Amino acid sequence: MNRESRTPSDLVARARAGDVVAFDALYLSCQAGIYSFIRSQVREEELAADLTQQTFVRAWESLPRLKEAGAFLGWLHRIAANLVRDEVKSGRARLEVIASEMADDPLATPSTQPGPEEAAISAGLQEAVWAAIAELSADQRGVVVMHHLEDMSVAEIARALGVRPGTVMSRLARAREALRKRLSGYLEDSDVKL
Amino acid sequence: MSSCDRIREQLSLYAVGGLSRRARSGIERHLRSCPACASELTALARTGDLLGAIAPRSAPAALLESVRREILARPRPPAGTRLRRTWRLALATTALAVLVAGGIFLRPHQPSAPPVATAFEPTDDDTPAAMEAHLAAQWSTPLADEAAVGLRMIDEEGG
Amino acid sequence: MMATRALLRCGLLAALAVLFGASPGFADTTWQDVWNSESTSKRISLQGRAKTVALTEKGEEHATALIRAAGGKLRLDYEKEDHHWSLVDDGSRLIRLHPSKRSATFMPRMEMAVDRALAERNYRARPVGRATIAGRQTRVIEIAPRRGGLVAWRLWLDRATGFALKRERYNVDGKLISGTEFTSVQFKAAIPPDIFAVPSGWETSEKGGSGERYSLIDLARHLGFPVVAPSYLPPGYVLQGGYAEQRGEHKRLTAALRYTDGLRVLSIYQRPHQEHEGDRGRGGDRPEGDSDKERGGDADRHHLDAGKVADHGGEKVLRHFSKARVVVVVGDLTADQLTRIAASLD
Repeated sequence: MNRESRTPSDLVARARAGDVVAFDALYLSCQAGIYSFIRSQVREEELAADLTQQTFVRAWESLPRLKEAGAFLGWLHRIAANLVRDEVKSGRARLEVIASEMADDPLATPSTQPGPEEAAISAGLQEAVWAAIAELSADQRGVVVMHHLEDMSVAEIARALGVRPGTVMSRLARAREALRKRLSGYLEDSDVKL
Repeated sequence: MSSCDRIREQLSLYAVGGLSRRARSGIERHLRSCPACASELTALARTGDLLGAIAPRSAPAALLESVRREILARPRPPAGTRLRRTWRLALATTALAVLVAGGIFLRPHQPSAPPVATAFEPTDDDTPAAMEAHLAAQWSTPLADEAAVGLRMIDEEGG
Repeated sequence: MMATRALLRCGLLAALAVLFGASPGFADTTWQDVWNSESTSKRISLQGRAKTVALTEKGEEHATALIRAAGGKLRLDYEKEDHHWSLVDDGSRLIRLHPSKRSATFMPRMEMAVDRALAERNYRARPVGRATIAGRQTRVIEIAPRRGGLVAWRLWLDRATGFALKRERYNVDGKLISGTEFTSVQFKAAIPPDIFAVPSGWETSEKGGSGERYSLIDLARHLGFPVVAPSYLPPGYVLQGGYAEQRGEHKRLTAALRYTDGLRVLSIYQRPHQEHEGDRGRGGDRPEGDSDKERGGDADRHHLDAGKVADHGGEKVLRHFSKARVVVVVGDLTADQLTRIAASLD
């Protein structure tokens, strides 16, 4: 698929200038990451969808204030994280997610956009990993999703959450330990070509 | 506490890249001679690989439309213009006026009348052009049978 | 820049979801196979022969084609009776090659944002058996609307590569409207890259719009006339985007709204009336001394079916006129649905 001039920072710059189509494209690229992040924090699916929507709408409105196009992803997550925090503070949302709920997510559907290929792991393994993530604390879930799912750097995550990079590191480390224990059965799996 | 226990405490931080260079070399020195800790590190690393291979979940498909609708309802000045509040209101009103003047309705509210017998008949046949464009759009849809779409494209052109 | 890479990864990772069929607890992996197959076709290199049939306004059309694909590009060399022509998809455009005239026509490749989640919401995919195609073992998959209705697609997926060696498409009335079946195929064939380019010295021309996708407001601004959206849509369809078309003899600027239910496409074209269209009067009255070309072509063909749904093989077409505009609705829908869509634009 030839995307020609649709490079991300190009998109951000155009969206910032008011180009609705460019913002459309940003939404399509990022919605799964943002939704996954919010969903890892918030229990109800509808609420997660609503917060996702609010994140993007708020991003559209605030985009002129974003100076660096390259910082878009972290900045977007900051908006999402703040929205989640506000929901939790208001008592409208709970951060605790029951493992079985995350695993049996009826809303979990494959995402948009075709793209280059990479190694596939089985659906059963996906399920196990998500279930293990669900058992982490909310803080740990957030950094795991941002770091591993969305490939954000520690610095970006720290900026998004408003904490020090060291805090991000220690959350990632504790999450890694906990997950290593829960997923020990799968670590020998030859199915996984990585 | 054995040296292995001390190392184990640090291993996860090492695995995620959170240690200083000095701390790292201390760990690496230990790992060179301790297969147990080395295999624990492998386990931690593999866990990281698994995490890297999971897939995100998509937001509900309908969200795209909702976001679009909200965006379109919020025309905003381009970056670089710092407007005071009153100006912003004036701009919004102007934008609304433009929309109304341009007759752009996203959800027409008028009750739909049946197509009126017109006093004129168009001379152009828009249909072949419409079909051609429609087929071109079909080319890129999922499950598109390109060979068949291509065959139809030619046909619509009259060969 | 890390952030840019991360942003790119958004899209890549989103694609991974497709491969993994990320739906824990959701037992259906058949869709996963379908998407894997779709992705495979975009990157596989192959050479093969296929026979293809398509239903058009005039009836069934048959052809055979030599099909070559590599690096995301595709070339089809058709043979139909004694007529030969070629189509190339070079990833950014479609190119129609006329070897006898040494000319090529470029057409835009529409930016259709593919929404697999939407397709899965509206359709179910299930395996229905096995078959041998082109001497290879395949799994047969049927795709049908969840809301009820007849089978819409059948796919024969090569067990080894996942590539669809045969596919059949049916319209909402259950008619087979297109089918392509490979009679021989060779995967990982060495394909010379120059077959996807136009030979030097050939005459080239462009057709259609830019293929660029617009929001409705931007489309209206771009075209200079108001664009309306229907208030009635068949269930499951969402707006995909707006496109500016410039086709036909008179290259009229037309707004095209594309809707999709994930798999099927609905196109709604609209343009304001042209001035001369008011002059004609009814019943084939043709003022003397006016050239056909000036008036827009063959008069007889134009006493169409305004308000009547026409069958174009796969899709149905409805032309609709109101005071403000000329509308054409094209889609694989029932006649009633097309009529309701057109009416809801007024």
